[in-house]
Amino acid sequence: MTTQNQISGTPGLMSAPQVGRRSSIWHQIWKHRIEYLLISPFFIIFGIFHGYPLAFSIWLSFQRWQGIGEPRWFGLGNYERLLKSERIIGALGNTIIFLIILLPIIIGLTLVLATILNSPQIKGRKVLRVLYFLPYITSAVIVAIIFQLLLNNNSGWINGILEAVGIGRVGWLIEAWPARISVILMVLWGATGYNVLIMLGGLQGIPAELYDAASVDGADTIQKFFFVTVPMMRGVILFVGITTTIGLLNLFTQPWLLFSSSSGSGPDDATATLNTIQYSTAFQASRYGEAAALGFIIAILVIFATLIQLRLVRTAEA
Amino acid sequence: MAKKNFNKSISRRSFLKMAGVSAAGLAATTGMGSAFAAPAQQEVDESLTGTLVFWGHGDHPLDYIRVEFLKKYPNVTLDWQQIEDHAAKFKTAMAAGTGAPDLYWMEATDVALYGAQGALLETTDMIEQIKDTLIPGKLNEAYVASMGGYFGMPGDLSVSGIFYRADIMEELGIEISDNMMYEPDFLAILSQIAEAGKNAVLYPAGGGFVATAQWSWFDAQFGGSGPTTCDNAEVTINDEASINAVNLMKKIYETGATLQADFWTPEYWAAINSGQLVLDLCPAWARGFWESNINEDVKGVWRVAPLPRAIPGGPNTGVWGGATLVSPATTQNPDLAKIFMQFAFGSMEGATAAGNWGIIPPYLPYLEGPFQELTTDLFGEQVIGPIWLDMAQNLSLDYCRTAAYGAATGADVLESSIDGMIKGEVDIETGMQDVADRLAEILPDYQV
Amino acid sequence: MAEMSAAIPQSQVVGQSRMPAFSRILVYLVLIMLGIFFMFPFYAMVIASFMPRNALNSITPTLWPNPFITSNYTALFSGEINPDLIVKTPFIRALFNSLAVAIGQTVPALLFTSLVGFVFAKRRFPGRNILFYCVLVTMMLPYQSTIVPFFLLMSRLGWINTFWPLWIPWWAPAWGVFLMRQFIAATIPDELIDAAAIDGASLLGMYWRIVLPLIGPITAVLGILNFMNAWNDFIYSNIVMNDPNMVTVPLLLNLFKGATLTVPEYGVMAAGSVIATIPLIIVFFVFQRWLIGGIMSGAIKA
Repeated sequence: MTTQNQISGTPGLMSAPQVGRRSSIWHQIWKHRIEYLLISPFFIIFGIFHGYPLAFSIWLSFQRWQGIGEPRWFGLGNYERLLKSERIIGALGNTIIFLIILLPIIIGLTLVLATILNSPQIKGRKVLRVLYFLPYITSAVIVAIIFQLLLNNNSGWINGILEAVGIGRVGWLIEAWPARISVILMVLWGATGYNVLIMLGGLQGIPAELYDAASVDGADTIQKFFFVTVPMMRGVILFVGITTTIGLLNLFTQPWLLFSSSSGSGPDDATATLNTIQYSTAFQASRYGEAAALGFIIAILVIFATLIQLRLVRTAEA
Repeated sequence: MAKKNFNKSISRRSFLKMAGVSAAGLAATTGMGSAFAAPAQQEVDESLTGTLVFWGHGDHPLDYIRVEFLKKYPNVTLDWQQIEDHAAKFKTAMAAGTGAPDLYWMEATDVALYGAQGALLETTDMIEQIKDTLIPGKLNEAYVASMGGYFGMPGDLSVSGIFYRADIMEELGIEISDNMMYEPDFLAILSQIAEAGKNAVLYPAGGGFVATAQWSWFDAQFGGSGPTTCDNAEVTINDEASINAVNLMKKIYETGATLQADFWTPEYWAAINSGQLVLDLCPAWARGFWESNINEDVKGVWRVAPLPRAIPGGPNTGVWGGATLVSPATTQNPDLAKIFMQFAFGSMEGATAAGNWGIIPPYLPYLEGPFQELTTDLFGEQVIGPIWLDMAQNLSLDYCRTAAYGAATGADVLESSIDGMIKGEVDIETGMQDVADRLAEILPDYQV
Repeated sequence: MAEMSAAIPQSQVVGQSRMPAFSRILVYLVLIMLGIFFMFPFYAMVIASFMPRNALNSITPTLWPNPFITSNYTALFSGEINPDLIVKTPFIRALFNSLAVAIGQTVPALLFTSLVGFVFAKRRFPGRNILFYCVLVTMMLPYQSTIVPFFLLMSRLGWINTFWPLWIPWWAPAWGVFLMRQFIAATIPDELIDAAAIDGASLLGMYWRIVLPLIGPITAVLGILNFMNAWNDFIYSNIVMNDPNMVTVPLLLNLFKGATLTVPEYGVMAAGSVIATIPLIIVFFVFQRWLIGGIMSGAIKA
């Protein structure tokens, strides 16, 4: 949505829609009937299978409902309850910590790795791509066991190493900050290969001429990375940024598996996230209305974060 | 929570091979564990027909009961569907009002929740006929006060006791008696274990559901009614018994004996295998799980004893987990479902099959009969039947798991608050008052 | 990256594309260490598949299966996991079901998302932004919010125990449209589209002749990710499939995890996971061929 400005001058997503004179709006729509026709199957499926559950969920967020019997109107009660909950605020704090630490690392690391793995100079890069992608296809249950074995306090392999080299044990699974770091490591481990793949796809779209031209102008590898790769990849970087943000605001699996006996909350609630709370609110505590309301709070946060990122990209361009 | 409901026995494996050979009564088996043949078959009833669908994980106690049921009613179809994560699936189907199975293995708090909404098949007529053969403390869990009736069939007894290493206790000169008090007896024992450099009683980081299970035992033992009154009308999570329960947990923690490892993880099993963890408080259904996870050389040296008492003459046990067999009210085969339920846990054939799987059925003729002879791999030569039966009859009748119980002890109320109180970061009375306020806020959600 | 940039001298000869040996070794070292980091749990899974049930519970790490057994694999295919756990779904059947789910979901999704992504990227029409935002918004709701109405819809449609709930709703993945739109907007020059328009090509014609040949790399990425998401789906498959004949691989393997009531069968689970990754690795290699460069520059020159 952003880079095409330089290539072709097509207005980006964020620019004001160029609707003609109001009187001709129907004419405009008729003129574009083929466009509507082409996207209509998608939107019909979308409306039925994603729109209806969404609407149901909005309605449900204003009800008290235990998942059985008639829902009872509760107005804004669920939202009020959530907004003054200290646990929700704590979980939000945890999520922001995860975002601040992980977002730049994931974007930076995956872009650099993808650039390296795209370079014909690197021998064995096809094999490396597969290695990096393995976390994405390793059974989550088994991954959780391995991380438990690595990180546990008394007999964990990492603590064994740390003790052997004289640093001493770290309470990876029993103290607040180490527990957060454990979650961060597990997320990083799982998310890198996936995002490297997306970055690789994006890199393929950059015309080789641009690099050739940069070489002629005397750019070195680093300069090419910052002056060709990064600008050309802005759309894909934005995609990775937004999907990573959505993923982190919906973080669930890693804390849930690592701290299963406390429903993902971990020591001192340090790894509780909005989604671990939402899951236990729905499927353990059977408060479906409240869980739906929490879903919308999460969605609003995601939309907010997305808009900030879109704005940042636009500002950087201007 | 489904994960609180583990059940499993290893000894039953050898049973299948033996069952055909032995007559009624005690069957000798390989290893130390024993299991029993089902009683001689009664008449076969070919007239009964119909289909029942059940959702449960693979290797379920109802698999054993199914085999026995089909011997008696060969023309019934029992469609057992293997589903591991059935809790979210079942709740989704119930919420949508369609697609639930005919039979389900349900937690007590959900029986109260769904029962009060009229979503479960009422079984009062069937229960009334066999009431006297069932453990009263367990039967209570199928009773829904607001509806004045029973909604399901009591499943496995989840009484809890002390598992301890008899050999190590002897070395340390510690005697575990069947009639102790928490204070001073049990706390003194824990201090002694801590001094010897060993661990006793699991307390995971953050407390988690292990902490709330302990709280539930102790609250019942102090004469509490659980988080709410039994009619689910008033919050009692800040009453005297509740606060005493947290206090006791804090004192246990302060002995320094507790093991900090996550629940039933490799770290926990390693502590057992290495002889580091020498005592824990466990529900009856933990036994089978232990047998499957610990090394052979530490089996047979464990013994079981009732929990210590909190008040003189009070109950010497509490519950953790333990399910009730229910049918959704929408079932197409209500009569057949009730016949199955009664067979499963209200007949000698069904109860024997359940017992051989490794759970403890609530059926008194079985518990007073063959169960009295039972020995297990974990507890070696110890005859465990009398101890468990004594505990079952000791279950507090004033203690209830109501519709709000799951939420009250769950992640967003007690589970997330209790750790700070136990570690002394939060004053217990203030902390429990906060918990009570939070519970009072959500309690109306669980009332009809 | 820090080491890398530091290692490349600023005075590097202009236009030189060869890295000095020293920094090349450093780069390889970092790449290989990362490779080990990413590969380790997968490796552990593979060796666990050749070890007895409780081997994963072992505190002492082993780097080679000891004892080495193959019974996890035979148990998986026979369905008789232990004397008490006999699985009703043949593993082959579950593999077939997963394949049907993944292909039936991915192929139409690629067509839909590329077509819609193209229209959003290159055509301007009233309501374009609103519609695109609608797509984005549904990406942002956690599934727990919508699973009850989703199930209700499927059961009203009579789609329980069929593939439809795992196919049709996922032919319209929001993130796929988003990614396609980003890629097409950034990499296909308007000149190409305009030229085709001057030649009198229809919209569908432009999509077919210009867009499709140029979106190989991103189709490969989407194809890989979509296939794998579908292949690994647990949440939606779990709620819509009861019939043993319709059980997919993740549902079947979940029977062995033991986290709810039964003893975990980690060895069999690892064996099943290893076999279940083989199709994924094949898909990865097949699609990765499309990730190889050169497509774009050729097209622009033409």
